[in-house]
Amino acid sequence: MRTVIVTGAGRGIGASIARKFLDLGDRVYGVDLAFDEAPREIVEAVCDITDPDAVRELVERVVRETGRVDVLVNNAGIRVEADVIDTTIEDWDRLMAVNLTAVFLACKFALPHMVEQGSGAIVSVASVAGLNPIPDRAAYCASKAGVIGLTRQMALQYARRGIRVSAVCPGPTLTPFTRRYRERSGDPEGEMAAFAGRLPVGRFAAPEEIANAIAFLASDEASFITGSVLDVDGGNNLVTVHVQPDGY
Amino acid sequence: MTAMHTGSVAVVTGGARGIGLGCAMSLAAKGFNLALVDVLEDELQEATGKLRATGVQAESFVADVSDFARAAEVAGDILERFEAIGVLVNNAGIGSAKGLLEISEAEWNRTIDVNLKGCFNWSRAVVPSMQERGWGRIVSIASIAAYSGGTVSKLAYAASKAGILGMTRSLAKELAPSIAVNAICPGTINSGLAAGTDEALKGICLGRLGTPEDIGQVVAFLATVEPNFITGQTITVDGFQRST
Repeated sequence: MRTVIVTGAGRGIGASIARKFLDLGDRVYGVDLAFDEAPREIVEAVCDITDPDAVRELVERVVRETGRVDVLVNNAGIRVEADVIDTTIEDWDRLMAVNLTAVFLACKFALPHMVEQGSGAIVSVASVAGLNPIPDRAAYCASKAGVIGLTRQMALQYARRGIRVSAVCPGPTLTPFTRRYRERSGDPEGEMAAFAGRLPVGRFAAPEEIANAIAFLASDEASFITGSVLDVDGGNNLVTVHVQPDGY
Repeated sequence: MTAMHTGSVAVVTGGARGIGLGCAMSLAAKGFNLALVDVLEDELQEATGKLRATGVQAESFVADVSDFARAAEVAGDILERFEAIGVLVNNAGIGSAKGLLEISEAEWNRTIDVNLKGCFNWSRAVVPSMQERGWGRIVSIASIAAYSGGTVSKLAYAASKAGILGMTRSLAKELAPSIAVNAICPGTINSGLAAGTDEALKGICLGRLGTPEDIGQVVAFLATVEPNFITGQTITVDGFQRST
């Protein structure tokens, strides 16, 4: 039985990832501050993933209770909707702490155990925004590009220790976050449909579709894949979905 | 096996040995029946026997993928034996180890005809059957040489493999949402086609050569994942190879 840590497991894509690993028969530690959508069978670990001491304690707890860390999924993330001019220092720091520094911290404390085991898989949720820019997401794009860079560096560094490191770049996915964001416009249904219509597959991803790709990359079936970045985006990166916002 | 691909067959070009046979074995393990296409008659018989031993239906078809008319003809033969074509693995390929001033026009043409036009010929031959059912998966085997250019003497090979990536992206858009089209870029695979393995090994971070099964398992994932939001993508399966 593998031990799996999933950050941001409380809802959205993270809750689906936790569900997927549970279905595969794994022990899943879900890390979050609240667990409104999380499957009940996970071990709930309340933890501020930006706090180094808390993350160290979390990993120590997992190893104390199960003796291992087989899979780490860095999924937790936040967004700031602003360009560079309008992004406050506080927002920048907060976003970088959650989206990038937290990935570093979880890896920093989990990797020694994986090295000791001689095996392990890390899959981080980056974003197509880490590859192609999105208007009014300055810090977000930068953080996700950072996750991709860190992923490839760790793949290089730890490959000979039996540890594989990959990233998934989700395209537009139906999550509470997406729904809330769209609800702010006057015509959420219309706006969602118009956006989906510009994608080659004509719809948003379901969270489970992202989870399927992550579970595959973490599995032995992907044993020759490391340092790879997989877009799960419905062909989103093949078309120009994001145009310049009005007024630029 | 999902309802969508029950009763359908997976076609693997260059399926008689190496990566192609690895793909066929992995698809058989997921319950697909197999149609193998190759020019190697003896190896085809042997491969078909191996597949049947796993309990699936398997048929072999002798054809050169560079022949446009022959692809359509064989696709027709396949559809006489099987209900529908659900998966196409464009794997057939040849190596070419010559640079610009060494390669003959004939070798350039032959490499492009087998490695790139073969993907066109077979996509064209099977897509109507996939569209009829409203479900299909195409996976083409490119190479990390598409990005790296290969060694200095792999001009036509690298060009043909990079061409597959462009075709994959274009087809993904054209055939969405019912047919997903993706490519895999293997690194150095121990399949008989790769040479200079000791040198290659040094540059592979995971410290081993790839196997046909490594590629087959990724093909099987792309062929079966359901529901699926992955299309137009290129998955590098190379153990993080830093040199070619």
